[in-house]
Amino acid sequence: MSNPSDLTRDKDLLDAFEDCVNRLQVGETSEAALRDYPHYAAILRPMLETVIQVKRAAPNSAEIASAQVRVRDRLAFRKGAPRTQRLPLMRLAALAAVITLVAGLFVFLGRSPDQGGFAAATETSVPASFTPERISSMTPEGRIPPSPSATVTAAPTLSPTPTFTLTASATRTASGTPTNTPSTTFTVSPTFTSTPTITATLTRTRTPAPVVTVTAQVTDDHGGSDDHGDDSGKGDDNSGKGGGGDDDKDDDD
Amino acid sequence: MALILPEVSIEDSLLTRIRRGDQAVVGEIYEQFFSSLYQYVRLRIEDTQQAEDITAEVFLKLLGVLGTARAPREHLRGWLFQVARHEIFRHYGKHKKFPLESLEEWLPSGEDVESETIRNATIEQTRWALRRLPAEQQEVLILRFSEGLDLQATADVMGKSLSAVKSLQFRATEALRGVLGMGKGRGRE
Repeated sequence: MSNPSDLTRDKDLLDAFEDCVNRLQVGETSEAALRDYPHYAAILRPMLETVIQVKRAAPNSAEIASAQVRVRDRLAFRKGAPRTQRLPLMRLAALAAVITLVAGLFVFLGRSPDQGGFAAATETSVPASFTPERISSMTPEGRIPPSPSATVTAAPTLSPTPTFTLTASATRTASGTPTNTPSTTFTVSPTFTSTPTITATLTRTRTPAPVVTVTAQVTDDHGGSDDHGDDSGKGDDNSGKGGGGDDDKDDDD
Repeated sequence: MALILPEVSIEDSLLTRIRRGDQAVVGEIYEQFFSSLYQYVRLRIEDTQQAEDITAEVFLKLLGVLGTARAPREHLRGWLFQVARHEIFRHYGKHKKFPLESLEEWLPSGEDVESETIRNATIEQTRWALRRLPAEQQEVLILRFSEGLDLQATADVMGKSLSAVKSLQFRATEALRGVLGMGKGRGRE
């Protein structure tokens, strides 16, 4: 047989092949098509067999039908939401972020004060000798464990997905009562961005420990106090949002 | 499998609705074109899951351009196949994985093999051989012989002239025949 590159110069042969292919497409047999081109039959016959082979190689109708159903389901799932938003994924991201946040805060709060946590803060931040019975008036100075802030940025491993950033700050406010029960306020500020970046960091930031002056007045009659502490511990507005501006923070993990 | 592609006049109406941003039109296009697009992709992508992903991507792309300046203005069929073609190129660009089995492994080994087995083996051999051809040759064979696109439509999809497609399909058929070892005593090219 001639070199194919030579054969393609034969315009009549190319036209004959094209015609035979078209006739195969409409159901004619190759032999019927070749009857019109007896002088090219020897060349075209094996080529038409190859054409038939290619037609047979198409996936079967069962495979196509099942693929059509699967792809339709997939498209139906994604058609509802614009592709850039993907709300279901965002919800998953939010759930993962909340779980991470809660877990992170539990770990954080479970640490002792000298580790920067809140656990046992009541016992250790108030000296044992600091009792109303023994003190009628005093101005104790106490050091409140530094206001911690936890910044949790979490996103699931689904990709691509928008980043869901939760910024949480936990601020302890101390009152000057002898029991010195701390109150803790959690502020959660969700922020959504569409950057397809996955990050998962847990950073705990400590700001310099504020010195809190607690004024306690204890009367002999009641043994109680009308004190109120300065809630200076919550004056840390830079406690959240990515730790921005925390030049003096130290990570003590 | 015989493919019935939509009439051109129907395509025109679909194109009008695409330009208007009518989302319902995507469902109709899906029903009409899925089979041919999937076949086109599947013959070039061995993995069915990946073939489905690529086919789905074509319709997602269509959804994305509804009512925009990027929406197809003419030759909807050609636009769909072009997107599929682009996605296939992207796929091969990412994975660069090709089957490594030799052709002999696909050939029936004994004289007593059932005819159905032989036929299936032949189909697999053909798919295998198709994927070993240069991309343009694969395309022209699938578009012309498997999808049943006519010369003009194939030329539109591939961005070639009619004469170029005519010549290419001839060369591609010869090449496939060579890979399949159908040319007696010729061996593979």
